[in-house]
Amino acid sequence: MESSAKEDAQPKPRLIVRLGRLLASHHILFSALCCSAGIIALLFLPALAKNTYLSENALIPGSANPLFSTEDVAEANKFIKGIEAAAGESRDGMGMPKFIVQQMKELGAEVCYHEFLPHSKHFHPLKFFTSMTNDLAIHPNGTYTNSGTNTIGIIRAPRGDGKEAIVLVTPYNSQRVKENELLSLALGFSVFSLLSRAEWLSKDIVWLSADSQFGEYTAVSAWLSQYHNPTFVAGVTNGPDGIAEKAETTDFKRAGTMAAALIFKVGETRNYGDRDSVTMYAEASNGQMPNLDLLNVVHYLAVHRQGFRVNIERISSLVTSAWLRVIAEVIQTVGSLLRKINPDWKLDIAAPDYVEGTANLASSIYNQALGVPTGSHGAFRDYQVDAVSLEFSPTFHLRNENAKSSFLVRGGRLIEGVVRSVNNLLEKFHQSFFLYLLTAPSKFISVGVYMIPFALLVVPLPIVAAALADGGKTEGKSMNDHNMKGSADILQVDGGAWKWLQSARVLLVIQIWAVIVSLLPYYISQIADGTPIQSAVIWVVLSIIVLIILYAMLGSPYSAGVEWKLLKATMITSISIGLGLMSIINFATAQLGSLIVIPMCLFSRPVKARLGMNFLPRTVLLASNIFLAIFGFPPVILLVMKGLSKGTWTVDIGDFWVSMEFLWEWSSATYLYIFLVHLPCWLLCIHVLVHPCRQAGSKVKWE
Amino acid sequence: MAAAAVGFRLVLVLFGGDLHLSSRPEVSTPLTSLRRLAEGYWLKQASMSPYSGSMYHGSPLLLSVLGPLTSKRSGGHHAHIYCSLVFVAVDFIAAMLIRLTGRTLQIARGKSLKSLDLAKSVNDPVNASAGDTASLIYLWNPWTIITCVGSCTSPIENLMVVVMIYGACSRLAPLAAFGYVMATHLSLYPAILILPVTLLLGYGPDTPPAKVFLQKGSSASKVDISDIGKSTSQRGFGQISWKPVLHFMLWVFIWSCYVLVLNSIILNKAGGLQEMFEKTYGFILTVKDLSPNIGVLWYFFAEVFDFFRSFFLIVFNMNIIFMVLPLAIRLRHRPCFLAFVYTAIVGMLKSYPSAGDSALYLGLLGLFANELAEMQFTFFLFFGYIGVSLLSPVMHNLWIWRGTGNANFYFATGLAYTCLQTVLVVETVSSMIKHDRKLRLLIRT
Amino acid sequence: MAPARRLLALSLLLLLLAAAAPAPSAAAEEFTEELLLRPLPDRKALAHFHFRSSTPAPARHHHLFPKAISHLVQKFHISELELSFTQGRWNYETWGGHDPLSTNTKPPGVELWAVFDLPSSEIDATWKNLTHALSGLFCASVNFLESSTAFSAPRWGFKSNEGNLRYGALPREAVCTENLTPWLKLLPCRDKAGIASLLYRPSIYKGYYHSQKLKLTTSKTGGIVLDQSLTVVLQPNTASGKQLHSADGKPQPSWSLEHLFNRKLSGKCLVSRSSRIFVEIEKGILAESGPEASWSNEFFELSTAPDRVLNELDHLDVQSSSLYEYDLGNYNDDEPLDVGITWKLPLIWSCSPAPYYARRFLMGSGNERGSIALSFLSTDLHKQLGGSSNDCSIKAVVLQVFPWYVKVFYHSLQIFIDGSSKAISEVLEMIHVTPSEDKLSPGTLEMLLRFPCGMQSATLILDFDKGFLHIDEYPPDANQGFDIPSALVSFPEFNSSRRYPETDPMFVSPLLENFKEENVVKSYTEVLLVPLTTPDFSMPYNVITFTCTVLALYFGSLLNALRRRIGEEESKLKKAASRPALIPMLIARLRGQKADPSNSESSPVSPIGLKLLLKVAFVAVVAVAFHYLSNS
Repeated sequence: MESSAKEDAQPKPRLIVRLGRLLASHHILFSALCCSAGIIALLFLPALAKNTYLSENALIPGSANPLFSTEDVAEANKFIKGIEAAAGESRDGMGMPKFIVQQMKELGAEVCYHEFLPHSKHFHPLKFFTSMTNDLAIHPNGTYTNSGTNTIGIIRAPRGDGKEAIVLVTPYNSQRVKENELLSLALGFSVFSLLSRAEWLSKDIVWLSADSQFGEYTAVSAWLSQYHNPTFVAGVTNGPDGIAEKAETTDFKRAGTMAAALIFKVGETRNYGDRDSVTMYAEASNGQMPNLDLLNVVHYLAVHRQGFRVNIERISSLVTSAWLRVIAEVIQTVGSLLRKINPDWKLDIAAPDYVEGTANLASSIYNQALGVPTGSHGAFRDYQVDAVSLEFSPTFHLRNENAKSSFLVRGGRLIEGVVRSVNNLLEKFHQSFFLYLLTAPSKFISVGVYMIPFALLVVPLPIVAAALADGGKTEGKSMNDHNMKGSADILQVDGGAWKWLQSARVLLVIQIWAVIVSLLPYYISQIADGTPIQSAVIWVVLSIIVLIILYAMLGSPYSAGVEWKLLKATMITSISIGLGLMSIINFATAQLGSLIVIPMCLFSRPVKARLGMNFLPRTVLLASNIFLAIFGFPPVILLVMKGLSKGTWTVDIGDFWVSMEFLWEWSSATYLYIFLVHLPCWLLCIHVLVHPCRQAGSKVKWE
Repeated sequence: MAAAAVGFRLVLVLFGGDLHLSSRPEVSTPLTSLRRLAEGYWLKQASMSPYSGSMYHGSPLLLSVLGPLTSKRSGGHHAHIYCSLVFVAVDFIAAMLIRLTGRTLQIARGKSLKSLDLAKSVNDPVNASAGDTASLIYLWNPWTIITCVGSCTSPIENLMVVVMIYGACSRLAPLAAFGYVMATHLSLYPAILILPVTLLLGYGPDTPPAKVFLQKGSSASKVDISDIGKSTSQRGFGQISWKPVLHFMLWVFIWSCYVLVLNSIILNKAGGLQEMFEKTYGFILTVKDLSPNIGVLWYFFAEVFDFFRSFFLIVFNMNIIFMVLPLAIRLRHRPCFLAFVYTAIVGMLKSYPSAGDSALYLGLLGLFANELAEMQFTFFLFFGYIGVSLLSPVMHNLWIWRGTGNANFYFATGLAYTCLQTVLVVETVSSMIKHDRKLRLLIRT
Repeated sequence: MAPARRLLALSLLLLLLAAAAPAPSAAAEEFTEELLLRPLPDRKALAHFHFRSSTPAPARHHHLFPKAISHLVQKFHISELELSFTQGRWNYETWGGHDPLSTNTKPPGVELWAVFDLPSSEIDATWKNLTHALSGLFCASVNFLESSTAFSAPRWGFKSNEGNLRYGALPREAVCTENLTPWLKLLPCRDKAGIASLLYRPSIYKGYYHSQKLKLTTSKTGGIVLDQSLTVVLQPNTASGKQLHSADGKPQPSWSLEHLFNRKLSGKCLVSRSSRIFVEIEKGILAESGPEASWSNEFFELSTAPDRVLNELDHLDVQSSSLYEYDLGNYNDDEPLDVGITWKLPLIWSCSPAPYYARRFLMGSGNERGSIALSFLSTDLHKQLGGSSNDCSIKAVVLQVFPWYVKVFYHSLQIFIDGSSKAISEVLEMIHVTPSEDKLSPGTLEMLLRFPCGMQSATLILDFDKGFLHIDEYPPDANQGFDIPSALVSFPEFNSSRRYPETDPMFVSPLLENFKEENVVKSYTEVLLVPLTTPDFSMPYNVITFTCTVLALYFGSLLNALRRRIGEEESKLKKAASRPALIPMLIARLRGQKADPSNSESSPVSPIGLKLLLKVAFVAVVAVAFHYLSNS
């Protein structure tokens, strides 16, 4: 709307008058056009993806030939044997950290332990706005018996000044360590030992072997919060129980500003015989992505130097779906047609590529929209550190020694190469994109492109709102246009300007209700430790009660006789504001939400509205209204999504509670979106639907 | 309602500590930030000039009043709780004064309408009295609330402006002078309010334009000479009653001398008045601090080439002053409204704007609810303000805390906000003029 | 003008004096060269070159003393000056923090401080000229210290003075061989002969710590003493890389000059008065290896028999470190000296540390504000030194220089001792703050703290806001962030003197004299990197245009609203429907709120719009057809 404000005021007289009136008069046609165009553009997105490129010249990946050699592999194997022994002989789970520290000390690195406690379920959906201060810090209290122990080793760059650091993370479970975790630890250790001898280092190297017994994210985020905003509490300085270490291993060590972080782990052995593959996970909280250059470096080195196969997550059900294939065919034909028309439009994309890209894109959008990090790299992104996690999935049996050694060599060289590139970097990552969607490991859609469908979807909203508000007012005016001559009450045509205040009040009431509803789970989770179903029921009941109470206090929407057009205009304006905001916070959420909300808003009109159309279209309109209104309700959306994903159509209210709990624990802005934007909009739609069209009465009230 | 508003503020002050409102650029500017005031107080205690270190740019009086409160730290997470309590009280007083001003305006309006015997034909669309509306708007305006809770000193500046207008409306020259001097001392810009205050003291509160009474005199025949006589005597067109104005001038002189003496006493060891003027008024006029705020000047001066800087400084400062005279000529019969327009313009174009300034003029806007009844695109303005005030923190977060956006994002919201304010000012002025025209039409028929 | 003239006159006078008495000064000019080698606990070796050339009085002709330096001293009236180029960090935890060498270590980059004997009004100007002269002399960008935002004048935090000391540091300055060459030029026989011939560039620049210093002191009589010292920590390149860090079971790598520098020593620099090499064995080793400080015992053995063995006179404990001295005069090309140490048994020892390890780190994230934390970690040194009573306390002096774009809130100083928050007054004895002026001067913070002995760890926290700079004030690599130079922490109650008995007064060794001096124990903290947010560097024109457009919009539309009356009057005379001014009407039309005109006119307009649409569609179709034909 602000932009429209600017364009309003530009001194371009006639054109704007024409356009304005044109749009206002044909707003229905216009909005239909825009929405359909938006959806079509959305379908075209995979075809519009561009190949990634390295935009930062400083990181010249693969320019130096790697030093990681077979003796490092031998060291890794020695490490595996040692740590297996250590893990075997120690019961309390402290054996492995001690062993790792021992090894790192022998490399001449600075070492320290970091104890942390699993943080309980916090309800902080607002953490996004109260921009991360200490609320991640964990205050140790005596209640917890067992605490995780991260092991940190720091290599000081020989000639560096220690202002910056590169972080390597290998998560492992200190309680029940599995073989692939041992392998990843060994990989990390061998790279670490190589780097401890490297003379080209200009940034310090931090190797964090994260104790993932409470989940790797917990471990890494605990370490990061201790790193960035530590809490000084007495008794922190005593070392992990069971070992009497010297002071230098217990006090927390730091190494400058983090330039980048690389989380790598070796996954289970999958499809034998194929090439070893690396899966990149990049989505952090609220759909933030690391700088594209980091992904590019990893991808380049993995594919062109070490011969890995690089994947990103995909929704595999889409790959086999028939309708998607149909769409792909259509798109391909259209693209080729356009290509014939103008060879510069490279829109034609082979159908399998399209399907592939769509599957990847869908998972990318889904992960971003969920707003929940896909791994421990999310914790880094909260501190403006670009991080990516790599999951190596070997294609051999872990007992197969020479396959393992070759795998170690390649993995080590990959990590070494990435570290080298980041080490070359003088400035922090800023050249390339932060806002993008991935359709393939080497194909991306930048913000400039994927904003187009969304913009096309949102554009009708202000215009329809304007048209509706105008309509509401013209009717109000037309009443007293005839006695305009009778100058006794020229001053009385003033209701028109402020009429919308009533509908704004309705909006306000509903927003207050939404805020209360979104805050309710906090108290519910405080008091009632019941099953999800119970708490969900409590939630629903409470919210309905609150709604009734609010109406009783502040007046129900129909008491003030607000016209439904104004109500709809208000709703549409509010939803456009909400969508705009959400598109900035987390684009994917807004994109998905707009697909649901915008038709719902545009279609909604009162059932009782006497509109001069004959039966059939009216029933169609009515049906679509009710359909959309039903499917606009968040739990229904969730149910449908679950059904589509895993085909179980069991209605369970508990699921809703569980998923919402999941969202707010990760302080995802999607939670806020659902309850502060989507839910009020849906309620307003219902209001518009059941609106008793007593315009005349309301008019009387107004005169 | 007012009590509820105060209670709401108190709740926020006591429990809303983790919102970090005080560090929001929309709330606290380098001029009004209470953290900087605390720093200045600390420096002063360390027997240094509070202005050394370009940290504090406010008034020494505030320093000596609020400083002791900042120094004692309450254990809670809310650092400056005592100051916040003070601000709550200040807000309440300001609201009450606005209410009284509204009362006087209402009375004056009724009287003038009666003298034009339009009282029956012109009914108020806003059934509540304007004063109550204005004070409630001021109290419940979310921006006033965050300004009050997010510790910054702009509530006090707003109070001073309100005191001045109230004093002028109710013809209390000393009070008006005090408000004027203090407001000018705290933040330079209210200095241009001298015109409306003088007009208020001279002509009295807002009335329909003089032409209307002339027409009334001409159109309405000899029937009610007494009425005309009354009206003419009540407000002789043009001739201004000089006595209160002279009083006002005298008191302005006295108060300013008093304030200067106080300041020099406070600053006697360190700095002195010279440094004070450099560090406060100089800091305001030459936009030194480039930290972002909801205005547009910070980014402008961060990007503009150095050799043009002085030129643009002059241009932008002139831009405020330039509109003063035309507005005064056009709206001289409505001094209060004139004051409102000035505050709006200042809140839009001042070098370090904050939400507090907008809170002030939006509160004053409520005083003219009756006159501005048929203002245009209020719908658009309302939602525009909501949108901007939601957008600005998000953009700031994206730029500063997540590092994925850049400065242009935040600057865009600043631009949009300025456009909104422009539309608001233009619309209010034109609709007020339209209102007067309507009155004239009524008289004619 | 006046100071300049006076300065000129003064220098002329000095020149005259110098010309008057050339002979005695020339007679007494001296040059000595020394090298100290020391094994370090983490299998590295420390080499400390020390050259001293002194002249009793500045003269026009010097045959030993570098003329440039004497001119420098005369021109800028320097009473003391120290310039250091450093690469890498000194590892206080393993390489020790208590002996004379490690307390004279320097932070990374360039550090320059000078004491002038001038009236305080002229000092800043002189400093600026001095920086330019030095940058010319050493091919380094020392002249960046010229701007007033780069240097500060600490009162007692660095070195107690009466306002005539200036201190500046450039943490980002890269040090390389082009800084070393001019430094060597100051030596009488450059690196052609004598100890300096060991300075083989690749080997010394491969070190882990490389600090090249130049220290000037003028006595009251006008005599100048120039101390040039180069400290390098080297990794003896003995065997393959694997053996570098191996288990503690293996003995330390044996090394010799050959290993360290790829050079042997063949003879002294002829003009040098004395030229010796010391091998210092820490008392930690001797404590292990037994009291008798023989040059070959069951733990280690020196490759060559020393000319003299000196034992440290230490009153505290019986065991003390010892020096093995070699006089280079006894060696020549035929029998070059290759001092080395061979380890027989694995040996673990530790150097005596400073009373506290001082660390510094940034807290918080985001580009708006943050906190800088300075943490002290006790090393229980006072227990070793005895006197660990519970009411004793240790003093620490902190000097921290903040650049102006780090806007520190000094009132927000918090102190945590052993994890519990303490009142400032308990710990802080004296504080001196000169706040930073925007774009004008950096802030300096000097604190005198007093810690209880039993304290294990203390942390000082200061909050700061990050400044927003003008687009021209950013360096080319703006996104790297900005540096906060290292803080200096000194412990006045501990001095790092190590006195060796001077056997013959004839050959007085300046190095050992330096060791004797009662220097307080100092240690530098890390350099910090503060990422600041950047404006969009490509935007100036857009920003200017947008802003001016918006302001013009305000201006024009408001004026329009004001001057609308005339139009209204006319239109009212013409009995036309009263219409508002242009722009609001347009907006109104867009919003479609003015009902009366739009009702009448919207009907003709929409066909126009449709027609326009039709035209557009037609043109599009034609274009498509054209393309299609052109391609096929």
